[in-house]
Amino acid sequence: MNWHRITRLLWVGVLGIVLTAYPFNMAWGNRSVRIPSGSYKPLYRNEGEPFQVEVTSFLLDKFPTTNQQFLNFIQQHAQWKRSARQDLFADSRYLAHWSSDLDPHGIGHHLNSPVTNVSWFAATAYCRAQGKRLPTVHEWEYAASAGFFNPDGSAEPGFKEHVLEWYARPAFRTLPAIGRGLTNYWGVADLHGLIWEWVLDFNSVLVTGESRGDGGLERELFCGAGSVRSSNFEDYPAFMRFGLRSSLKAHYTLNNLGFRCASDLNLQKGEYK
Amino acid sequence: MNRLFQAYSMKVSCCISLLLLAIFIELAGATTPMKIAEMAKQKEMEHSSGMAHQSHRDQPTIEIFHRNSLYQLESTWLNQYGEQLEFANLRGKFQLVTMAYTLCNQACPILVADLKRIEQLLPASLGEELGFVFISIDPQRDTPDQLRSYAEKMALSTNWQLLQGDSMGVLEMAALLGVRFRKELDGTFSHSNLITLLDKEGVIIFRLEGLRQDPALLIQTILNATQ
Repeated sequence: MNWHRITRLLWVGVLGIVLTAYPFNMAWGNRSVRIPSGSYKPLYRNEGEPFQVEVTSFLLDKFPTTNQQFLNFIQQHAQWKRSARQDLFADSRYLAHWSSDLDPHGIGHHLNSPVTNVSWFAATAYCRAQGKRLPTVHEWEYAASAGFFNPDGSAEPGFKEHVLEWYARPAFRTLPAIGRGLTNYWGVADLHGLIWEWVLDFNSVLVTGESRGDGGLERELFCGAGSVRSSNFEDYPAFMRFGLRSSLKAHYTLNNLGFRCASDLNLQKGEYK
Repeated sequence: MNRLFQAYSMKVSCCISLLLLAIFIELAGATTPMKIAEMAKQKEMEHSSGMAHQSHRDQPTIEIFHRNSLYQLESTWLNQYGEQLEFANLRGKFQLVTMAYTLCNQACPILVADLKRIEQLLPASLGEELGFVFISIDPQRDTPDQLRSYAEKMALSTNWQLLQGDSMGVLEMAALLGVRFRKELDGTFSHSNLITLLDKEGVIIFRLEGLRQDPALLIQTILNATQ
């Protein structure tokens, strides 16, 4: 009875192919992970500010938003098509890697890689459509300060080196898909080593043109005299993120700048504290 | 008989697994990227051939408002009289917009004084065509009552609207105007000092950055635009 062994094998094979090819991350949506309350040491602080910043519990997407997910959003919200772009909300590089308005297949990007070349407005609109919002600077930094096995990555051997590695490497020729690396202690993936990410209050990082000299971070960022207020001289990646945020404008789009959404814990149904 | 039964049960199991597979594909198929790309292409084709023109109506913001107009915003605000308004209600006049907060005793009074000076330098007849908008970055404390008493204290004319929004609306407005701000631990705010001129359709046409700037160019822009 060779034939039914063959058919069985065939079925298993077909099922196997279907299952492996099927992008589960997309089908199940972007699962949120609960980040418990806690505190972290921000890189910069003003005089009189505490060393630790308290962050209350919130929900954060496990993965950055992908091209596929952003396409699904655009199909419902046509004003975010590339051809409908307005300078006010996104610069001319908006979704530049897509081959057309509704075709996210572009050079150097997969459907399942993080969507980049999106402005703060586009990211905010996407999250709003999911009933979510962007994470704040403190929320993002707190979540990203966790190591793989420990809520405090700075205490974990090898974690700092792992994070630094990305900064030392030249840019990816093809942006990898989400979820390739390990998830961190809280179960969040790709916070380091894939893309930069928008945060809700990126414009709270003040470098120039602010009203008060003593709140001015320009000194802190660029001058040795100010750096004494930096809590950690060795946290080069945090320094880089800080610098990037201070240089961004809300309509900017960059080839390696994407986002993930967050939400307040008490607003999410079916979750418990 | 035995062989017949075996063949029969094999067929049944094949049918069941086929059915399961069909169900799986059906469920999964709804979001298969291939299918989406296909649908997308179809939609695009319809669009380019002008077939789906009605679908445009779903986005009235694109149709009604000028491109790059701030009046596309959907956020709602309360003014110093407690009246609820959308930003688009400011349409029809040129508007000088600034973001600050009333409990500020450092830069903001200078910023407001700068605006008052501009108001005085302009011909009084322009009052019909030009409005002044003060958007609070401290919506927790700048309630309509607080804004009204501030307007009285600063002797602001009736051409002024002082607005309280929700925190997301304020953040979005700051992003649009290019204002950076941050709440400090002592309850004060650090923020950019920026005066923005909007045309009658809510499009940004001029920016004046910093305190005590020479308003000559701004005034010239307003005069040229209102002529």
